[in-house]
Amino acid sequence: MNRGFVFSMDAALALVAVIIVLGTAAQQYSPADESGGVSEQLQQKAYDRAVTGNYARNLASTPGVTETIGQNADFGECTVLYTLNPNSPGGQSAVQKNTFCEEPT
Amino acid sequence: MRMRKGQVFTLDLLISLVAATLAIGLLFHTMETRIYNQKGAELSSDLKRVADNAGNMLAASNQIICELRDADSTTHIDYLNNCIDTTKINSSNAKSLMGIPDGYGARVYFGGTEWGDDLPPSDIDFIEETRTVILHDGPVFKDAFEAHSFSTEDFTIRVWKT
Repeated sequence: MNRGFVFSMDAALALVAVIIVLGTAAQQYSPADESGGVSEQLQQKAYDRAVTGNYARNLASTPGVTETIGQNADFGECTVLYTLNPNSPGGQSAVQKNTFCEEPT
Repeated sequence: MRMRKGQVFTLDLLISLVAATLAIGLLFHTMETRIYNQKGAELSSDLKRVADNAGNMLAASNQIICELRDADSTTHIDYLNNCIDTTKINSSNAKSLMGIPDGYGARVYFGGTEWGDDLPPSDIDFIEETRTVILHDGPVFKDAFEAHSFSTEDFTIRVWKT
């Protein structure tokens, strides 16, 4: 090595190679976040279920309709539907709360 | 390393050149894969946009959904989201009512019925959008609405690029 030389050409090239390989590997194996799209779909499903469930009175107390997100699910989306009973005299009892939840399958 | 007479490269330089060449090759390969995946994702997001829009039109467009009328059968009250009026939508107008533009094929499935374009070859990418709806023949009258005698149905829209 000449005086004043910090890196040799060989070391500089090797360094470039290492940087490229590590950078490429990091990009290739970085996890892609796809939960956003799935979450949007579940939100849509829960909303559809709530609206049609309200029309058909297939509300959350009916078998097959989930009121909570299962403990084994990574995540889920729920839509809460409040229905007003016009025949009720008023107050809290006039409003019924129904929750419709969807989990990824 | 001390160079001998007539020697142009050292062994170290040759090894590092080989390593650098391999690394650059790997970089190009990754870039090519990334561009290919990006093109696939663009097509997929394009199809998703069309399918999402079709699903939203199906569930909320006044030209498709049921009208809620008073018991006297003429007074308009409101429109019911997610309630498909089967007298408004049919096999010939479904694509245009759902806002599916030219250049896209579409086929819908609901309650054992299928409408739309012939299915594309199996190697063509497609996207499906499923909406839970109620199918109703004509407007919904208030007394029928309050009786809640509806059944839900899955309405699936399959979209692909032609």
